[in-house]
Amino acid sequence: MKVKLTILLLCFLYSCEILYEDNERLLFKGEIKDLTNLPLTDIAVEVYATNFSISDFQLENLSRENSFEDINLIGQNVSNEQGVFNVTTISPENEVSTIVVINGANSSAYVATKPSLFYLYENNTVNDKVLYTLPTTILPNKLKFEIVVDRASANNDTLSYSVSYPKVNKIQRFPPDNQQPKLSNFQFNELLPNVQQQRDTIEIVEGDIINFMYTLKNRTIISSGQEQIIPSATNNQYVFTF
Amino acid sequence: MSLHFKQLCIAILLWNMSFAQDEAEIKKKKFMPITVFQIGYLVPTAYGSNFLNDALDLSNGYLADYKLYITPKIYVGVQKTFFRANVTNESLVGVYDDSKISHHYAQVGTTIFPLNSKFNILAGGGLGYAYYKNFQSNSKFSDDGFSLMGNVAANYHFNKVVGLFFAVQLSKDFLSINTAKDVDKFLNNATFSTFSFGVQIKIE
Repeated sequence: MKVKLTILLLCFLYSCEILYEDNERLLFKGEIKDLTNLPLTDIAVEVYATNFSISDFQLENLSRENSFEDINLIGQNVSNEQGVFNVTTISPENEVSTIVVINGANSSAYVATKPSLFYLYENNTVNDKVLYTLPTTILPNKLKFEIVVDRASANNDTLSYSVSYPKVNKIQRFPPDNQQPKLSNFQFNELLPNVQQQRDTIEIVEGDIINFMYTLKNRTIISSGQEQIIPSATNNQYVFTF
Repeated sequence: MSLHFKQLCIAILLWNMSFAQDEAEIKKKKFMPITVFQIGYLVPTAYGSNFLNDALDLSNGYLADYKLYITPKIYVGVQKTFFRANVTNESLVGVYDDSKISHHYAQVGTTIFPLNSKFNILAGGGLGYAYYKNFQSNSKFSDDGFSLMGNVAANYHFNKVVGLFFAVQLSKDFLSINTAKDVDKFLNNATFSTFSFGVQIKIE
């Protein structure tokens, strides 16, 4: 019985293992720029392979140390002075997902002021060619954005409001899907009659849109509405007064 | 039968016998193939802009060599070299740990001095098979291709059997890695030299 279990375990472990093609290397090419179209130098680019469908949580926590989970780092480089990167990788044979991570949080060259971006090749799509040219990657700056909700007069109204905005880190799938971006944040708050002001600071990427929705109540709904805010380096605060 | 005829027959027989003796002496002096075995320590060094020089750190290895002298100056043979390499620049070759690199050559060459000299110099060349066995965590994969080499060697014999040798060899690998054009030349060509020394045994 023990022998059978051991053989089964070994078979299972072997089936999890990522295998590599003999006599084959892949090349992932691309370019990284900022919002003003200037090339970004020394941005880390890493390529990982897994033999299972990777979750968003695993995606955001990729590092070369998690090889025990059969997520293997297969290539890495940094962008040059022209913002161009070339990552040569070994060629996975039985992979399910291949992920190109731009500015990964666990990379030694991580730039904390920039977001991470994940190009995700799913369903064994990285197998039929040796050259992968990625679209030009735009890496805007991360911003701290403050939302201030202020009670103008000593009224007894209650303000319920929500703030939704895209997550800092982004995923782009290949082949592209038409789903809404999975990485998004949502916050719900209430300003009760005894509270004068509420300040919330969120982290967002320059150029992303913040949706601010509110409902003002005093037994019944007095008013409601929605605002769209576009943060920038010069616009890092939104004040809602009622 | 007259006496003269008998004398003539004996003379022809003796003359024939003398020829037979000469042929035997010639046969004795005819060259017999000689075998030389070599086992040695090998120090590889890579050159140029290629993965072996720019992305791998080569460790020392060993060499085994067999030569068969088919004439006093010409030899044919086979050679195997083996050394290891650690990946030092993953951005150029991909992320893996190390390689075991072996070469098997068919070789031909010549000696400068006669084969039975105590000191000799040899020059030769060969065509062979290059095999790179690469390791990443628990997985392994390989690259292969063909290889050309040329070498110059010197040896010194203490006696008829045992001697020492020193050799310098230049090799060029042409691997068959399927990859993008941008990195094809970098990943498929490797130039390296090896300095080797060791013991050789001559069997006559």
